Amino acid sequence: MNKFHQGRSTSQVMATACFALIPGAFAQIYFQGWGVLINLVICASTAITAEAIILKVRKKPVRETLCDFSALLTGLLIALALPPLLPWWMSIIGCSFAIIIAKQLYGGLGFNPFNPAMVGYVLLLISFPIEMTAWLPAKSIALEVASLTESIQLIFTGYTTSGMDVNSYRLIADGFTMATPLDESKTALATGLMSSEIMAQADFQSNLTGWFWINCAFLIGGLSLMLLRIIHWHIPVSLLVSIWLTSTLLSLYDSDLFLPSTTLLFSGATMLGAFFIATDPVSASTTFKGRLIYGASIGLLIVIIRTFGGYPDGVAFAVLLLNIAAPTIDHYTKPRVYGSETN
Amino acid sequence: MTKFQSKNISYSHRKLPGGIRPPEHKTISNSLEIQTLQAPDKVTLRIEPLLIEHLLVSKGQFVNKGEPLTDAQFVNKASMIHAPISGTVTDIGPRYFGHQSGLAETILTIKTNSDQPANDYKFEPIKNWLLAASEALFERIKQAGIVGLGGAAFPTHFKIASSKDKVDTLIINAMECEPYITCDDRLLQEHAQEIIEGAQITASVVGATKIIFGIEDNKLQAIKNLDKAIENYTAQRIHMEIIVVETAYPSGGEKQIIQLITGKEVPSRSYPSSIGLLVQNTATVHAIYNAVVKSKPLTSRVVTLTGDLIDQPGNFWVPIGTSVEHLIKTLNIDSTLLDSAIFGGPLMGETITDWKLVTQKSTNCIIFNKSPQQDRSAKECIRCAECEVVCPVSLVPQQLYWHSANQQWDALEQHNISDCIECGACTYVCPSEIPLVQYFRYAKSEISFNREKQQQSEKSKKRFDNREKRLERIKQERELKRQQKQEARRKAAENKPSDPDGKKSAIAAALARVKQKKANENE
Repeated sequence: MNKFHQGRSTSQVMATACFALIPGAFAQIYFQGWGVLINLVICASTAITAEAIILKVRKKPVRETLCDFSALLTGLLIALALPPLLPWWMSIIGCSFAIIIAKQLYGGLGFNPFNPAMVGYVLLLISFPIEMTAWLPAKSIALEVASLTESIQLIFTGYTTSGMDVNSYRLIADGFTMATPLDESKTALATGLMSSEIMAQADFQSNLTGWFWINCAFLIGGLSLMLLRIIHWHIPVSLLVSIWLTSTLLSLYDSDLFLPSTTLLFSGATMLGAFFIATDPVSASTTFKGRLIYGASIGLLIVIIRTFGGYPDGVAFAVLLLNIAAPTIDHYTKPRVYGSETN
Repeated sequence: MTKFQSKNISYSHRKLPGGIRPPEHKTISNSLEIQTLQAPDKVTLRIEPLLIEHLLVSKGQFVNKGEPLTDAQFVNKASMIHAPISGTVTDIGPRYFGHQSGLAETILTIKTNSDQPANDYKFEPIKNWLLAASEALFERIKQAGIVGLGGAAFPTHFKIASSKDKVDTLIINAMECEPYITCDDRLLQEHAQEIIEGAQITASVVGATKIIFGIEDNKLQAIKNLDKAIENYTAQRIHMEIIVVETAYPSGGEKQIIQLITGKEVPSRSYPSSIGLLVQNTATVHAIYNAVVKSKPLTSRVVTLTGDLIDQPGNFWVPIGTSVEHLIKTLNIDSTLLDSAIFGGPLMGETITDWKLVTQKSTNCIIFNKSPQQDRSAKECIRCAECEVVCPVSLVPQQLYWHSANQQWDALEQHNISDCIECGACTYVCPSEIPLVQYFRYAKSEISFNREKQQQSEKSKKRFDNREKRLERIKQERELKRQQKQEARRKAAENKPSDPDGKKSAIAAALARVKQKKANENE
């Protein structure tokens, strides 16, 4: 075969994306504890094992396909989307479902209409809403911080040797549990507090800071992917601009009822979603204009779901909804071909 | 990039919508002067199906180098062929000759014959082409068997005939954008004067009023020499200028050079002449110069022979029909390290493994590289759309691939697959290493096959419908006639007067007379 090729392979693309998750993963481990690391191990190994088994069943080359690193990436993305002390079997269910049902039963890499990681995540979120929203407060305000051993015990048995459960690690100094800033502010706004009052709370602020740095770390990883031309700028930029624009407009309408745009941009899974999840090429829109529409629509939906919806974060739902729309968007955004009058 | 300034030169700011910048590999072969390859003692020529009936030679006949082998008056959509070497015709007939289809082609073999003195064939000289009639020049281009030497091998006389008096600008394609190939670069460096004369001849035949040389900025020496030649061209009749563009693949595609030089686009499914342009390749106009001024038919061309298995890569005058076998022998190529060679450039060329294959008029380059260590197989498309980024005609190859793999021909036509120029930029960047262009070629051929079939079936359906209609009409006409006749008969019967011969009235009159008579008698 005549192989004159620029030399970047699909495996390299996937592996680079995995490496780019490192800063974000470190930040998340630092602010959310050892549980994140344990999740990463559980999810990565589950994803790879599930892929190997289903490939064997489908009579496809196992080793060669695993070397495309797409299963590993899916596992890592699910792990980073899960609360740190989630029971181990839930992580395994989520990852197996993502790989076997959402990816391989549709034909494997390149054929899945939906982002497998988000399908796995949403399955868990709908099935186990309480466990899936049991996030930990920032270390600085937490009453107790789980050690590595305690985290392992919590994840695998539900209790530490001293008899503590996950909820006791979610308490902050005044004896209340603390959810993520997005969850917290949603509840507070519903009880009639003003946006500025929520933002003024010291505990809320320290919690927000943790998520700010986690988002910054994912932003760094994402920007490096963009510089390496692994992903194109269209989706992340249009997504972030859309979040900023929508939330700014809402704040301008009534700054008491809606969170400021910086809070929306730098909390929850915004940066992870913008650079690593919405950019999954297989399930995203592929034309230039299409990518801009796709990213902007996800951004808009994230703000709408976070502000008016029933869930504190909306990245997964927004991405899946736009996955449905991607083929249609592509169809209507074909570029004008050389020498032709119209599209 | 150093910019060479001159009044003849302008630098274009236009860029292709896509395009790639692969490693050039041109310096391996562009530093040495063009050499003449040691002539082979055997050449093999493919005879186009249109010309098989019109061969002028037979087996065993001796031919001189340059002698026409086909009858010129039957050459319209095909091109003339001439003997590339002197010798005896040893074989004519259908033989399998490495065609990808596995089908036999008609070939003609000539072997050198040292017994007979060779006497190179030449045309009747045209003393001063400036004074010659344009028809004579056109006839010479046709007689010389000139085809597009950039790779397409389309008969030049045919292209010129269909552009005559329709074009105002002749663009000389000196882009040579594909990696490894340097034959046009060397021709420009060494024979710029002849090339511009060839361009002048071509422009005057088609009636163009302007000649633009389009060239990439990586060929500085060629640009300089071309500029100097334009300065020194005293007999200048038609305005000439050079437009330099940024090096990018595929800037040398016919549609692409037009876009880069003029900013215009050739409308889909039409020719450049529809927007007043004619594009000719550098080597083609050089061949036109040779035919008109030096009275020589096209029997050899400059071929870049390059690759890491050749000690001294460079450009060579190679007779048409020289076998790869001969090249391997004369260039001392270690054939044990050679799995395959590439005819043409690495992006659009054809990989061959049969050393019996021969050079064609369109063969501008042959690459002899060591075989790759490992051959990675194609993976699934991940829809990364890198192909869409580089596509110079703004297609969406990721969709075309999907539809080609699923044989959805209608969807492919909606996605303008016919506008694909098969440049291979998409294949070059595909991270899953899918041979995209192969899919597209296959789809295009299936679509045109289906279209032909459909047209035929539509034709026969029409024929059938017409026959049915005709039969129906005849039947109706007959019925009508029958009815008319019947009607006429009926009418005739009705209109018959009650006493046609006056018999009844005669009888009545007679009876009345008798009555009268009786009455009179009774009185």
